[in-house]
This record gives sequence, C-alpha cells and structure tokens, in this order.
Amino acid sequence: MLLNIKNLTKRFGGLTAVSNVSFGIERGEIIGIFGPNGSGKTTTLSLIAGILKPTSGEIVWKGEVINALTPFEVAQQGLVKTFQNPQLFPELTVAEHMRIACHLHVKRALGLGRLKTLLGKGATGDLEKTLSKKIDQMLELCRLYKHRNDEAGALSYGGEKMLGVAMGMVCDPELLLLDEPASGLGHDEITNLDAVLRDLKTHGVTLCIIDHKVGFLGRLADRSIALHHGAVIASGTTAEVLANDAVVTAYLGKKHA
Amino acid sequence: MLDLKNLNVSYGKQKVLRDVSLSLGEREVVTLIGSNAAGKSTTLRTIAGLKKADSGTVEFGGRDISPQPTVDRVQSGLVLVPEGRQIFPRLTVNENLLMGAYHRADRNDLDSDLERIFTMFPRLRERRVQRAGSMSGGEQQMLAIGRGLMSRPKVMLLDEPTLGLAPIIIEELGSIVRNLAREGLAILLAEQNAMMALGCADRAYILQSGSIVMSGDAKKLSETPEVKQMYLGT
Repeated sequence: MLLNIKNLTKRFGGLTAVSNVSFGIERGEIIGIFGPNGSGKTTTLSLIAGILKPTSGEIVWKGEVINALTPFEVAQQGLVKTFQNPQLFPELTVAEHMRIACHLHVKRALGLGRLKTLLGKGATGDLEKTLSKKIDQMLELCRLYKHRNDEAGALSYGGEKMLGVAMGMVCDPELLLLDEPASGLGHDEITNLDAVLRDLKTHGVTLCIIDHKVGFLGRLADRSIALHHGAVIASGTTAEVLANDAVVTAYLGKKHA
Repeated sequence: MLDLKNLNVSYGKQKVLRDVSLSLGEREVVTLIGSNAAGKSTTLRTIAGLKKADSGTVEFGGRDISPQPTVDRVQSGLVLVPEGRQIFPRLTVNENLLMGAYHRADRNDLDSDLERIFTMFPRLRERRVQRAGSMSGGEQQMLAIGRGLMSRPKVMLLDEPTLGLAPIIIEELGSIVRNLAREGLAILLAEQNAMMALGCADRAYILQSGSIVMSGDAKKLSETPEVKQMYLGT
C-alpha cells in the first residue's frame, strides 16, 4: 500500500474536524473524496501533506510513519498537495512559476546559490537543460505550453487552476493530492482537466481528489470515500459510494437519488 | 426595476462587455449564464458601481445611476453578494450581518431584520457568535446572502453562489433564491452552474465573450440544443 491512513483524528478546540478516519491508497489508483462542505475533506488532505498535525492516528507512507514531517519534507518524499485556489504571482509568467516549483530539483542539484538558478539567470549547462525540458513537458501535458510566456495574471480561472496542477506535478510526486481542481471551471475546462488527469495516471501518478463536481469525479475515480462530520460514512467503488443512502442524504440530495 | 442599455466595458485595451443590454423586473429571478471570462462578474460589478463603463447606462427604478458611487447604490436598494463570498473571516456571524447594514440610515429595525435572517437560515442563528472564517463554505454563502439582505435591498446581484458547494447545498440555494423572490426581492444571478441557475430563474441571458448571444424564458432555453451541449454537458 502506497499510503495508509490509520484512525486519523484532528480536533480544533472542541470541534472534531476529522474523526477516526482510515483508508488506504494503492499505487496507480485515482481515489475520490466526497462530502458536504465542512465535512473534513480539506483537513484530511492537509493532515496527509503535513500542513496540519493530527491529534491522533497515523499516516503511513510506503511503510514509514510520516506524522512528524514538515510539509516541505512530505513533498520531498513524493507526496504533493495542490490548493483550492492556487496563490500565483500575477506578474510572473507561467514558465517562471514552474521554475519556482522546481526548487526541490534545484536544491538537490545545487544546494545554496539556487535562487539565481530559479529565475533562470545563473544556471548553465546540464541543469538548465534538464529543468527547461521538464518544465516544457509538464506544460505540454497540462495544455499550458502555448501560455508559457504569459503572465499568470492574464490566465483564465481554468488556466490558473491548471497551473496549480502543473506546479504540483513538476515536483515529481508519486501521489498528488488535488483539492477541488474542478470547482469554478466551465464544461470545456472540466473536459480538459479530466483528460489531463487521465494522462497523469498513465504516466504513473497516483491521485487523490476532492471535488463537488460529482459527474466529473464520479467518472474519474476508481474508488472513493465519503466523509460527513469528519467521519467516513461510505467507502468502496465510486459507483457504490455515490449510490449509498447515507451519502445521498448527507451530500447529494434527492435530485441525485 | 433594473435596465442595462448598451453597456460597453473594458479593462485596459481589452473589451470585456460589448453592447450588453438586459432587464430585471420586480420579484423576478433572472440569470446570466456563461463560462469563465465571459463577463458575468464584470456585468455585476458594473451594475454595483465597482467598475466604470466606457459607454451605455445602468438604470435602476427608471433613473440612470451610472454616475452614482457604490455607496449610494447600496443605499437606494441595490446590493452585490460577491463571488467567493468575501465575508469577514475574523468577525463573528452577527458582526458580519451588522456590517451589511453599515450604510443604513434607519438603525431601529436591526434586531428584527437579524431575526428574519436567522429564521431564514437557522444555521446562522446556531453560529451567531462563531467566527465566520471557521464555518463551512455553504454556511459562509448563506452568511454572504444574509449580509446582503441586511442592507434591505430591492435588487440583489448574486455572483456565482454555487462555487465550491456540495450538490445538496446547491439544491438548497436554488430554493432560497426562489423564496427571496417570493418575498419581494428581484435577483440577478450570475452562474456557471447552468443546471441550478436555469432551474430557479424565470428568464435567462447567455453571455459569450462579452456579448449576449441568447435570451428568453429559462425553461425554454434549457431545452435548446446549444445550451444543453455547451452548459449542461449533455
């Protein structure tokens, strides 16, 4: 098992945001997480990514407990999370954002003095070539290559979200955690996102995705879990989860029944 | 109630709205549907006075309000519930609601207005002393609508209220919009979720690259092949 979540609990004061959650992710799968607003989905991903520390329970990554790692160390382990709203620098270009996201590679290769490299002013030779190639490939894969020299401020909302995915991907994750990648996207943009994520899967990336666009994630995810008040109320194949009575009542509403 | 006539709006050299005309009648729910960057938010922001038009007019209750600042528009009964909710995360639910009445001259009925909103959204009553930022997305959207109502509007501009919300909340939001209209509010709803919007609106306008390309009865529009294919994903 690539990732194994055991009895994960997170309390904020008197509020239990995540309550005794357990699930596993196998390599190569796409896992969906459904649940009403405030059910603990984002908190769960933030716990896995090391952004929040669990109150109790274990996060086991490739056999090792990683509870104590910082977000930076978790990302170095190959476990990367994207955000609901990517926080971009409006005046930097798409390619420059990708360079910033490459800091892990540069750090490994160069250690100190990497800042100049990040902005493309110092690196020469092999590293520069490797980085540029990697960035171009990823932008190609995420359908952003033609925008590589555009300022991020000029991107459409869908483009911004895709850049968030591309920046996560360029860190070479083994498992990418995506927090509502489709929210705020239109029909065409969702079709594009769907194709990009399927491409990623064929490139060997394991995906764990939160989204409220049930049509989109329902088609994409191999297996799913549903959360309500911080606890798992259903798990299984995505079709099973979406047909579950408790999920219909708490999340989907009667129109979907 | 609200009449836009040949509105042209641009950001720098980029034209965002081209000759947009639309109307909203009393107690009517009208939706403005379009994809990202079609110009929906710009239309609402222009109506609210947050963005200046290059040409064209915004009439409210028969008067051209184009020169009026946003404050005056709010005071005369035109309120925007912005995209992404924009509640004050560190203030309590109660304080957020009171901020909605900030510009009101009559401060006497605040308590009864709060009461009305808590009746409409019982979850907000339960959480009245909680910090707004700690609530779920659906609750924050209710709060944003409640805060808008505290200004005692005649027209509410709702910008993409379904953003990031669970299906069951979207369904609830549809009936909230209908109820508000029944109680006398006119609502202009900008949405990307065409299914929800066409389901609760009387009429609809479809905005593409800054121009209105179709308009009419919401139910009829939802049955046209173009709308089905482009916005309903069927």
